[in-house]
Amino acid sequence: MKSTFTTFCSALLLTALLASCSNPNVIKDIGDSSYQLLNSDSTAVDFPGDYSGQISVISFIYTHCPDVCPVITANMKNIQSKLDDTTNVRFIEISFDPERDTPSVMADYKKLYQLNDQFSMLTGTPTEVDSLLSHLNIVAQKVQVDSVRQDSTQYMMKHSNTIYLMDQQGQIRAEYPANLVPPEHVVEDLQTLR
Amino acid sequence: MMNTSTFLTAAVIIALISSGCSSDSNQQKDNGNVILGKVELTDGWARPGSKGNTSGAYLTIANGTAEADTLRRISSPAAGKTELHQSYSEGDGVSGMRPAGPQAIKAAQELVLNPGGLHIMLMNLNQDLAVGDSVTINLEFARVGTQSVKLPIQIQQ
Repeated sequence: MKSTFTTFCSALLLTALLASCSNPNVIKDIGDSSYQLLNSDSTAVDFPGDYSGQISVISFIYTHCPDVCPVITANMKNIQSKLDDTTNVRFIEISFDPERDTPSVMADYKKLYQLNDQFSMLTGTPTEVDSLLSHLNIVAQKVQVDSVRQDSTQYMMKHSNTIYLMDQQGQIRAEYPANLVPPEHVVEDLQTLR
Repeated sequence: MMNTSTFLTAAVIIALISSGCSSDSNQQKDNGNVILGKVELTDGWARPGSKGNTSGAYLTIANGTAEADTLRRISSPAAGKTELHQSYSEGDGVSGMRPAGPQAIKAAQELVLNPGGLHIMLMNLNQDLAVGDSVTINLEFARVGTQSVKLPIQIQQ
């Protein structure tokens, strides 16, 4: 009788351990927040509320970035293509350069990089975007370079290189180095959130 | 014993062969100085970009000449400004880029421009660059002069 109880407790503990290992912890909960952003077709987006009930893969880019950000976008596409079933999964790219990345500029980027409708390209007012980035611990700093600067609109950015995995309740469950993470790792974590 | 006419014929043949070798395409002339070998531009491609925005371009520059050369300047008719930049990553997961300046390439060495590292930055594009298009890049070297290459626009997979 005692051995049966011990076996039961061990099995319970093992199950709990396995569950905690395979299911990413909550890094940050933004489910109760509301940020008013704009999609690339200029429609209003309530972030993250409009993505409630879906799993979101979130990255951060700016369209004047010719090197690192397109690598991030390529990795987002690779994550998408590695998923056998993309039902209820959204891919969100948020600009950390809202001054230059208007909805139409984001639309051009989406078209040129051949991103399908599962991708949301979000921007907004600088105040709103900066507030969201700060909440998500995303670094975005303008860098003035003498050789590039011709006027105040000519600058580069130093920025976080991050992909977040957000669950159906608006909780950030995993964080990855955006241009380096193997897509399979994100897909594996994503499957545990379904 | 080789007679005079046979000797002259042989000399002419050798001279012709030598002449053929010296006009080999693997040699370039720079201000009258003959440079053995050549600078090769391979594996080039560029990213899409919309008019007024930015694109990045990549390629491998192989210095097949006998002496070091320096990539001094880059230009493109498709961009208002073109520079060589270097991406960098800081320890806290923050990335950025900075101008890279002239690049010396030793004899028989390569300079590789690839994503996440050195890249050609095409700023203030004066036309859309979409997949299927191409863009001309002019690379000015200190010794071999300006080399031009046409790169296809591609999306990184």
